[in-house]
Amino acid sequence: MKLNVAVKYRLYDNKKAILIFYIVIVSVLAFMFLFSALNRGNHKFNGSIQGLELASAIFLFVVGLNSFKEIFRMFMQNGISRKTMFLSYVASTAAICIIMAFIDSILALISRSITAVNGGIYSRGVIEMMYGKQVNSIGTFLLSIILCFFINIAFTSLGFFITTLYYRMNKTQKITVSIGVPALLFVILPIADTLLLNGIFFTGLAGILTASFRDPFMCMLSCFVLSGVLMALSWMLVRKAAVKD
Amino acid sequence: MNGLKVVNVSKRFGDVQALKNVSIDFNENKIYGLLGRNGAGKSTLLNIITGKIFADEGSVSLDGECIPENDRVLSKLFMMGERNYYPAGMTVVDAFRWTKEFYPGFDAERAFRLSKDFGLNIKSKIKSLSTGYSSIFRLITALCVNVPYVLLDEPVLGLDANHRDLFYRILIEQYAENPATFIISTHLIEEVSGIIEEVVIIREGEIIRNESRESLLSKYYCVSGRISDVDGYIAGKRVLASETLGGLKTAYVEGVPDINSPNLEISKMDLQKLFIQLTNSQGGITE
Repeated sequence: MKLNVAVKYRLYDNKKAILIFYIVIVSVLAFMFLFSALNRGNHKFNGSIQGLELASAIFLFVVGLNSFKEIFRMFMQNGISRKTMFLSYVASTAAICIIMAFIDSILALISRSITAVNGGIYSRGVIEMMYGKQVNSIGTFLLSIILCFFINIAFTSLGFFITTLYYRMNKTQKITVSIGVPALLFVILPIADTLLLNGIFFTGLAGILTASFRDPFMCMLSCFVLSGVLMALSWMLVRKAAVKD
Repeated sequence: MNGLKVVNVSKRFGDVQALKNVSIDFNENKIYGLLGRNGAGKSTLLNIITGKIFADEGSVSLDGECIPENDRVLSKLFMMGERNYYPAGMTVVDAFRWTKEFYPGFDAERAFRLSKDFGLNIKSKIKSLSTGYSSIFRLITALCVNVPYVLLDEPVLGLDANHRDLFYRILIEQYAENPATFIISTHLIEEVSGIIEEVVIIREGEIIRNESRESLLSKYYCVSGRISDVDGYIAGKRVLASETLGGLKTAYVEGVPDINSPNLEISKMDLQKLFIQLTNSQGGITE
């Protein structure tokens, strides 16, 4: 009962942001198609829309970043346990990610159909961009939706994990992580890898990443595992979180 | 077992021991005054009871069930805290609507009526409310939520005298019509002394008194007069504290007053005076 209300509240909380996001996306697409139609035959105008669905993934990363503090306080005020709060996050995230994956795949399909007729703009969805698979059948359309769903879940989970981690840390820890992680990834590791390991670390990492995303199914599996790990870590952070003033 | 039970609860924040082995029962359908000085541990205790923070040690249960992480038990409690935990961009009317979702017993019609009585604009965003109206919004929510246990932490913070008076009247009406347990944590002891039935005094994280107001007040009295007369009277008696002003002395004494003291004025102790004497740094009985 409480879980239903908690999920309903989370969906309500995200509704406005999602609506604005799609108004912007549709407006940008409409503007591009209109501009392209008005400039038909003018070879100076060439545009491209690629991996439209990734815009949603980035948007959902931001949604994930904003999915903890305010809702946690609201739920604590209204007698919702941390367990129910976390389950509501998982359920609402799954619902939002699948709905957005469906809308994105439809938009990518429409975009591709229009550009095929209109010319001037080149459009391809994420599955075509990453794996060269054209969405020309129900099978590839469904594959595109499922792929987008898993990418969306992974991005949201990453955002949620970062926000819960920062919530649990004190000021010193926040500063340490904010400076330490970028410094480690972009300065210390590259230098150490070059000087001490002859580039083996980053070559190996690139190999792992390539293998993890080499086809749509591996990409889905990798996103699923990543999401699972991030959600498990987030739960460990949420279960003992205290309300801060 | 019915009631709210706190057993051996301790909580430390860094170097500060906020609660020390606190044990207390809050029974059904009573109005408790949780009284203590700033930093005594009142809010910490209420936050632990409602699961907002965790105790280092001890347990809290309601009707025999542990409270933390139990949705069913949490739905029997509502705490109006000092801070606003509603989303800043939410309007008052939306907050009422969502409270109704979380607490189906919430009386939305009454909330709208009370908003009108207090002059609270329900279309306002919560973040735009003044300190007083923010308290009023949370008070109205707490008064209409209709759960068996309502915890009010500094409920009249920022309210003017008229609104405070209105709140106390509504609280009494509510209690008469629909009894519930109210735990009121406040600094304004004089104002709530006529409302509360049970007094819980907390000092430096420890409960030093927990009994009915009548029983507590009947244990002490004031005696005033010339210094020598008062000193003579209190000799051998248990004295809580004494004050001297010019040639006059007032002593706060435990026990039954001796009415055959012609040069002395003997009066009842009020709750605020008793609280001050019990919670000041030198508080304690001397003989």
